[in-house]
Amino acid sequence: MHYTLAMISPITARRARVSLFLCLTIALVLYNSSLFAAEHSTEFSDRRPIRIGASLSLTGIYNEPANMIKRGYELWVQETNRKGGLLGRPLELQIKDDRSTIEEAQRIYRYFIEEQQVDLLLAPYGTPITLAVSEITETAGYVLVSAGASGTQIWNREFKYIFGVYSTADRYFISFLDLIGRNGMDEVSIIHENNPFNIDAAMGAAEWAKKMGIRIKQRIEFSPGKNSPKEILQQAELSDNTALIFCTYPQEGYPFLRALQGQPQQPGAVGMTIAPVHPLFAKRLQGAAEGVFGPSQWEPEERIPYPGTREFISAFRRFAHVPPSYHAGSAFAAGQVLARSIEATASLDNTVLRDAIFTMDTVTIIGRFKVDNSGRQIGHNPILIQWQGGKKAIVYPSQLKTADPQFNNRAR
Amino acid sequence: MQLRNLISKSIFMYILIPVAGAAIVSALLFNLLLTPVFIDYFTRMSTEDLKLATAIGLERCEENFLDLLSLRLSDDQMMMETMYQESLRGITQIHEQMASVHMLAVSSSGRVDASTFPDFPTGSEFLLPDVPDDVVREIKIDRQKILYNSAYFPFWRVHIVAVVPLKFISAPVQLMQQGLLLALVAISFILLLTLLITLNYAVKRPLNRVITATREISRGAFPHIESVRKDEIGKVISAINVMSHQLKENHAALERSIAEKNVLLQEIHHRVKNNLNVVVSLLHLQSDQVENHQQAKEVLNSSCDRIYSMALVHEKLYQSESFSHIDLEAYIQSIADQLFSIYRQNKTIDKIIRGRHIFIDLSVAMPCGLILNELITNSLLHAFPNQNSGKIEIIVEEQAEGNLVLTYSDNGIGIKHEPDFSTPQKTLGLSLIHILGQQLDAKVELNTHHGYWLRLSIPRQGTGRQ
Repeated sequence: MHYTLAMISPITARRARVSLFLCLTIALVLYNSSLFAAEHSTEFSDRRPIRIGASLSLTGIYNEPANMIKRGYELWVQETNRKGGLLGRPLELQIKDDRSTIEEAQRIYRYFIEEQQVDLLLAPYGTPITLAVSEITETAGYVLVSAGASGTQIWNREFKYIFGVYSTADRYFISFLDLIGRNGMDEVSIIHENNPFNIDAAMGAAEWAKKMGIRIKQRIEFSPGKNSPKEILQQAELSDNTALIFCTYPQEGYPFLRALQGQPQQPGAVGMTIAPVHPLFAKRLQGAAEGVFGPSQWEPEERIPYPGTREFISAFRRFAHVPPSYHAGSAFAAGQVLARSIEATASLDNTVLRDAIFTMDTVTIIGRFKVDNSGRQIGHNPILIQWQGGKKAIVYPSQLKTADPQFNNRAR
Repeated sequence: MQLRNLISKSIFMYILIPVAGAAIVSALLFNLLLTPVFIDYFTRMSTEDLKLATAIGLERCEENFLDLLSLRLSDDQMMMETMYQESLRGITQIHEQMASVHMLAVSSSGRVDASTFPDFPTGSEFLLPDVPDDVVREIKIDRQKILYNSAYFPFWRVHIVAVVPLKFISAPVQLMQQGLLLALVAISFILLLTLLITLNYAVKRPLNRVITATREISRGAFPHIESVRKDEIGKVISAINVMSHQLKENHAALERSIAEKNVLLQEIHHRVKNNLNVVVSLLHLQSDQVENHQQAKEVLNSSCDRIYSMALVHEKLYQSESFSHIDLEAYIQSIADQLFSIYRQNKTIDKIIRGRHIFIDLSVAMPCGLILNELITNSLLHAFPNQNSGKIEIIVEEQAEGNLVLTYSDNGIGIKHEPDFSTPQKTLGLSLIHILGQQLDAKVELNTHHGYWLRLSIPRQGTGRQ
């Protein structure tokens, strides 16, 4: 049935108009109420902490660098909150121990993404774990600024949400090779673990040695625990005109250096990944640490002229009661990158943050940050340290060096 | 003079000698000791420069290499070449900042890719010496010695070579040596000049004053030289002053004595002359008393004439200043005048007396006067018996060897028998001439054929002249 106003009586029409007016008034009141409620609800949610999740190898084979990363993350959160947080919200960091296993790390990141629905994620330590968890974070659309991995495979997959802070592993030994080449050594032997990071480092060293006219005398790959370092070293042909590169994680690296100390013939120079950058390296190895070179993404050297470096070093000493390693510095720098992208976009949307990081060219406490279109770090170059007289000295690049490099074949 | 001496002495003693000594010692030390030290110093400086230059070269290569790494362009050949060229520019620019250091970038094949060393320009070949990197060595290359250092940058396989030609090291030392030598010459010149000035003021001028003073002393002046010096020259001046003073006193005493003796001598001559004149007067009185004895009268008159001649000598002597020498010409003139006034007898007889001013002493003057007295008297009395006029000529000459020649002549009648002076003479006059000639050790020449002519040559020692 169809009605028209002409068909309705005046009283009925007036009632109808009143009813309509009341309805509209109620509707308006209700609409305003709902708007208020919504506004109130938004204001309430802005004061909530920004929740950040991370998995780190607090135990297991990667515990040493991972614990440094943990303290770097924690210090970044503390310093950011002290300054008022991000977008006016405090940061809330949850770190879980993956025990240096891929599976546990994957489980933890799934937990943060699916159950906790955290706002942001921070990266784990190590190339293998980073490779694995980045599959999950990429799928979920979470930005991952890697502060503890430099394996090139990570950025060979054309992922869009993972970014490197470090120079990639294949470039770790460029400076070492440059120095031995300058010092007249024309051969190098490489001993490396058969895992992605160390393979990358070893292959990169071999490639750069070739570019610099340095002959690869031997490349020995080993599986941890299969052969003893002494047995492996016996295969190596050492001479004072040959440099030796160890590409290992610290747990394998220390035994190698101890075993090398007992060898009758010593190489002209020894370079090693990761372990030499730790502040307690010399204490753990005693005399075997002397003269060892190590590529480092950064060093807690107050003369390094990057903004905030000196403040970070002193803050870290107060916070952790040890000097920071480059892992700690990188962790803090990863936080700086994330924070700058949030401040620049005023957003917590990971896609927005990703786009901002891709175009970012900035300087963190460890140096320049600039990535290519795969997220690989290209603005940062590693430095080279050497243990001299029980102390860590920067020997490369020349502009940052605190001491001249020393070699076994002759002192420079 | 005192102040000038003090100043010159002070400058000489306390400034110039120490300065000159220091300069000479410095020059010797510089050559013997400091030259090797300076060479060593400049070599060490150059060694440091070379090490620094290669280190800077490495840094510049490294910077460009790291830029390539940062941009992930290490595989881009064009960028690699661009950055390599940038590195070469960086290497050669080191020479602009360290002018003494020449830079070369030498590829492993030995080709010079960049150079500031004119001997090895870009594109030339450079044979790398067998010297370890970063060890500075002195090597000889292309006939010149250089300090050499090298470094190797592996990525570009380039040897960074820094060289300093040794001539650049020795050049500053040579410059210093030349400067020192110049300073030494200048100081020596100033020292010599000052020495001469000082000698002039301190030695030559005082000595000149001494010489002038001695000359003045020799001329009879007795100066006093003002001086306050205590040195040797001061002592000489003092001695001369003493001598001058003493001589002055002695001279004054002598002059007084001479004056006294002169007065005495003058008085003696005057008295002798007066006495002789008295004798002449007495003889004239006696002659006047001899009335009938002509010969006696003549004898007395002749004696008067002779004694007068002798008195005339004394008269001339006391009238002279010296009392020992008389002017011979004036003496002869006086004798002749006296004799002519007595014996001319209204005849016109000319007398010609010629002779320079010749001064002779008493011992010569007296015999000469007596001889002329005899000759003139004889001529006036006997040479012109029948003549109213005549001529008597007396010429006195002094020969070159100092001999005195007295020539007497008249144009009278002469004598028939020329006397021989080698034998004793009959007349008193000739006897006197003979005796007086012998006394004078004179040579007597006589010619009486045409008038009377006599030459008396008196040797120098007989003339009494000096």
